[in-house]
Amino acid sequence: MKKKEKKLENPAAETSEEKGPRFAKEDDFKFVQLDKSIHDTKFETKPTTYFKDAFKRFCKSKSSVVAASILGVLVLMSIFVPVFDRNDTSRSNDEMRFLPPKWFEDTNGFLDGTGYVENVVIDPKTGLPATGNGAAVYYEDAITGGKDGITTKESVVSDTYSETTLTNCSGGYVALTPTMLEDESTFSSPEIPNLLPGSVLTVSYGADIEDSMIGNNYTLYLRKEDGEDVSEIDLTPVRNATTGLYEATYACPEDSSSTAVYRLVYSMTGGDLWLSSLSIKVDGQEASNVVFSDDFTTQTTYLLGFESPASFILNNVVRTSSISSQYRWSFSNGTAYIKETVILTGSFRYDYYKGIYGDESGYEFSYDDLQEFVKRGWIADTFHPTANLVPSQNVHPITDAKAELGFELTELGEIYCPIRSITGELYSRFEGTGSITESRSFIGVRSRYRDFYYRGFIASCEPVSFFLGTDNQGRDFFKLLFSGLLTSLELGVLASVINIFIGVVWGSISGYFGGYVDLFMERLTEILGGMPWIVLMTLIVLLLGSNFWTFLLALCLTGWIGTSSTTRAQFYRFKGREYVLAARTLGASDARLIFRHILPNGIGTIITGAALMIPGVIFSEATISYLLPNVLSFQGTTSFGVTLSNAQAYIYNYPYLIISGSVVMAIVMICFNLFGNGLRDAFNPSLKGGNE
Amino acid sequence: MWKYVLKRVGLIILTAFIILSISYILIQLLPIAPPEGGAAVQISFFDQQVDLGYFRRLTAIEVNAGAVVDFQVVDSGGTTYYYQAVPVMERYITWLGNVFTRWDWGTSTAISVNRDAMEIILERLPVTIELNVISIVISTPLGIAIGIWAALKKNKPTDTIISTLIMIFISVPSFVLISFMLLWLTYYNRWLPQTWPSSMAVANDPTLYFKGLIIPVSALSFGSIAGFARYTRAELCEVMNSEFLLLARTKGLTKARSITNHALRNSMVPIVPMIIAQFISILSGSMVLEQLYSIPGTGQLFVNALNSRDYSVVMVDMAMYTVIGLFATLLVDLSYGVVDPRIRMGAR
Repeated sequence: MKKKEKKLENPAAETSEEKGPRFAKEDDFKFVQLDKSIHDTKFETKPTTYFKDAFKRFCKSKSSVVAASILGVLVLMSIFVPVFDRNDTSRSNDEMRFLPPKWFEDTNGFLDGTGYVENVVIDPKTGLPATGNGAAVYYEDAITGGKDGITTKESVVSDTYSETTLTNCSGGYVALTPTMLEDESTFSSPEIPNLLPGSVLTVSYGADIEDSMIGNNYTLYLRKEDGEDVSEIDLTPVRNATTGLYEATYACPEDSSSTAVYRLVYSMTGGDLWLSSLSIKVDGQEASNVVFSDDFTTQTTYLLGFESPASFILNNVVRTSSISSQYRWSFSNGTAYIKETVILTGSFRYDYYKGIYGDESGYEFSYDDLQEFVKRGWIADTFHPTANLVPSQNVHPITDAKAELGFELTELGEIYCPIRSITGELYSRFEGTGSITESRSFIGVRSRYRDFYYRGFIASCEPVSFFLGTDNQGRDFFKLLFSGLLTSLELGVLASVINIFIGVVWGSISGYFGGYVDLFMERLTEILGGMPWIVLMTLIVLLLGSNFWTFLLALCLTGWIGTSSTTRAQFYRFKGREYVLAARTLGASDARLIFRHILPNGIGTIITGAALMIPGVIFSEATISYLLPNVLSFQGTTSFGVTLSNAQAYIYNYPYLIISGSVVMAIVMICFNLFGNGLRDAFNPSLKGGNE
Repeated sequence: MWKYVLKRVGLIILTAFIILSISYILIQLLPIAPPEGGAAVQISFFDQQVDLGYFRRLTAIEVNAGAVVDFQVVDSGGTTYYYQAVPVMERYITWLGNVFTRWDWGTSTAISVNRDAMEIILERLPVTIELNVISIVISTPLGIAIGIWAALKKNKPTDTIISTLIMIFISVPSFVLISFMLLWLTYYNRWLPQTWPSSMAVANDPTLYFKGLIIPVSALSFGSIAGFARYTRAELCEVMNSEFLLLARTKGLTKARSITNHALRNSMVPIVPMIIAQFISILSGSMVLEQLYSIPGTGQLFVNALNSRDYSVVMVDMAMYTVIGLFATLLVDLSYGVVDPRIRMGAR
């Protein structure tokens, strides 16, 4: 202890000795800064404000910054995409429906505008997809690899007609190719009920057989099974000239055994057979449980069976054999079955853009169109219709358009003109009472994309690739999506601003004054808040009509309640503080206390609330437009929810629409939430709590 | 306590009354849509309305004298029936009388013509409640467990992954989720039925019932699982930072024991009321799901009723949602007191 003290004492003694006398003599004393004015030096660093501080904290949270920048990009896109993407989305163009997204060229199916088409009915004659009758059209030149690119598949089908078409073909109709019967086949029906001694059996059916076949390679007979005793009773069907059905009758003798069981049997060798409208009657009563075709188990023929034999007559079954081995049935009612039938289907990769933008021959252009092309300088002005053409309903063929019509594309026309060549001219003249109607048109080859450009559907005169494809009306989905996003964002921002304004004012008043004012105002918010928002929105929109402003009103009606209650809580917290008391003592008015002293404390919370409210509003709008597209869809503008709701209808056939829409929606929501959370943490670090 | 509850229930009844009154008057201001169908259906509808006091039948003499005719129906015999709507406020009084004295909420005009609206709702309610109960039963323990797991692995890769997933599931709207599930599970892979299986189909194949539940239950659960997990994680993290837990560890408790006995109990305080809140939000959130998966519940009924302007059904459905919502807020408030005895009911 002593040692330590000594050590401590020593340095003090030394220093005092070094410094010498504590007070210097007077003449040694100098005023160093006597003539200098001394002020506090300014801080070199800039003072931080509340917002700068918050911004600094915000920048530290990487995810929020990333979210904010993605959000910025999306917002900019929603503003600029509708401006710069000049493809027309206000009109529908059926020719451009459902184009898949195209980003690249020839990447074998990955976003290159092609799609793999499966199970399209192939016309066995041409080897190409069957056309007509409402079937989807596939152009040969747009099939990747042409005719050789089609992988065909033969499948043997036994099912109901609807199931067959559903699983084996996409669109159009089903082409059924019967295979040839190689060997003899025998088919027997289940037991015919109620065929007792004395009753009469009538069999009638439609069949695709030559009369000469009956009895040779095709027989129909009745098999009688009476215990061990089996006998065959021959039925000779005769074609009824009026109905076209084959008919056979058999009267069961009175003396025959009553325990005998009868079955209808038919056997055949070679040839293809078509049987329909089978009707088995006993004493005029339909033996409906005998569905003859059910017993066909071999793979070799096809037969149509009906749930109720009587429900079909031959006329209901339409068979077209324009192509010898291709059959088509259409039904007016009931369920039709297809039995053991070979269906030829093909799968291939199809370039939808090639199919849409290719040339189309035999297209009719009006004379006015061509005059317009001449006016635009696309067709040389030497163009003239044939003089002295005899009026006719038929097309007047043109072999050399240049010599006969003076038709020639100019340099500009080579780029822009929708009509590429003329192959025919149509001229009709109708003389009515006192008036003459003339019409003139030209048949030629149309370049589709040039025509789309001419009619204003696409923005540039070249085969355009749509970034996100097109929707059911042939509109550019990319533009549609982002203009919808813009509408939704506008709605979100406006609604948030209004909601926050109302909420802050309401909450401040309620919180500041307290007491009965508070009680009354709280009850009002409770009533408004208690109403389900979807109901309130619907009511407003139904009452006032559906447009942007009513939607805004509906969203603002209850949206402010959340803000108001947080603001109210803030006021309860701060109104008793000393600085408020001080300000009040100095004579500050209520308004000044509210808006200058207490409210600024809650500014961070309010800003955060705004950032988190925007996605909420977008979400509400999307949900309600999604749920009630008929009642609540925007008139005129398209919102995000409406766009998504439209896409939802085509979820199974054209999933890329709903996928791209949903992904954008999800990104917007995630980014807004991350951004909002970042803001909350930045403005109110104490709230971060557990996240620290 | 009981005084507080009674006071609150009284307030709820008052609030519900005001809400429903406002809604009724607003709805009655909309153009009335008579039922679709033949003259017989319309006449029986209007006659019922006359009996209930919402319409007045006019005679030809009155019509000739210049009375305003809102609807006229010509029956098969060629007789014309004239009906005049009673003024809105009068209708409102009559409606109140009908509801209070006869529990008559009006008849449907489109969903199932001339049937009691209340009956229709009660018929649809079990499916909705069933789905909600199943999803809440599944999502509550799962969400809390995930939240606990994330909190225990705080700031580790597990926590980051869980937090990101939670963020995604909270942000993505339910219809997006349902659309993707429909595409993936029912269309590309035909594992599950494309729509809610009918009771007939279920009777034939009982497994179909469970298959049919998968999409709706998961669609409803994902959001609430994420909600529970986020809340639990935040709460537990906060409690784990607190001093009493430090004390618990200092006095020698193991980490596991300190968490189960001290941290978890305290973090449950805001979670329990949240279960009730989630139940309500699921109930109203199932509208989209019921529409997309064709589930014959009250949500789908509400949307269909709005689309076909069947206002009686809308009114009853709305009343149900309102009352459930109001009682839920009461339950939430009461549950705070039950879970945490420090919170006194009705204290200022």
